[in-house]
Amino acid sequence: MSMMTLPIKCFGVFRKFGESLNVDIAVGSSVLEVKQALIQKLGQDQKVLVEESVLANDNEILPNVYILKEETTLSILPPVCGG
Amino acid sequence: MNGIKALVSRDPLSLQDAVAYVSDTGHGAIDTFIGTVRNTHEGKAVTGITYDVHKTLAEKALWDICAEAQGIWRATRYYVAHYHGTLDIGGISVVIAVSSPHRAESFEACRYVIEEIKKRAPVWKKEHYIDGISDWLPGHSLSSEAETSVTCCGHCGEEAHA
Repeated sequence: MSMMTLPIKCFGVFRKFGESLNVDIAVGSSVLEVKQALIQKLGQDQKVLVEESVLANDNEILPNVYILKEETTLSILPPVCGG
Repeated sequence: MNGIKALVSRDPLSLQDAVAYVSDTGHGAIDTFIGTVRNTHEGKAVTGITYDVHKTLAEKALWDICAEAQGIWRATRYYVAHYHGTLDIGGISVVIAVSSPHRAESFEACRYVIEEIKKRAPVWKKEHYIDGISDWLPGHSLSSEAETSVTCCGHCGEEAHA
């Protein structure tokens, strides 16, 4: 199984973990699997927050079924409260 | 689509820029909204707010919201700007201006834009309190376009516009 490292930029409440996080995951994993890997990395006490958040690239928010075929920088976007 | 300017800025937001952009000789109404930092939240004394923003996606979200509004209220023009950084009490966090031939469309479209921003723009607030503690505020979960239905204008009673 070929692995890749995904840098994930942190926003909002995720900034407590730093500017970005690296997640090691199999090539061809889904966004949902990346979120599950994030929960493993951050701990079960972050499970609800991660599940309520979305992952995005620099163009769009990615659905949970989106397949990541190569290394790319993502962002984790927690629930928003602009205005 | 013409008549939309959407931006995120670390510089002070300008109501004059907003009004100038939406001004149109064929429009008889300009409605504006200015969001400012309030000095209390849920009984706690607030000293300021830091706005964290995903600039690229936020500008896209702001533009998309205006484009949707323009699809509902035709012949309208939009300027929307959101602040990125830390503001003291009274600081301006968001400026919206909408112009239209008649006033009703401007009022309704402006309200639509700010309500959608609160639900969809990738912006986060960290409130700073007088006791030195700071907290990120809870908010609305985002979803991908593939998982989102079109938002209704709130007047027609339908789940989504065609």
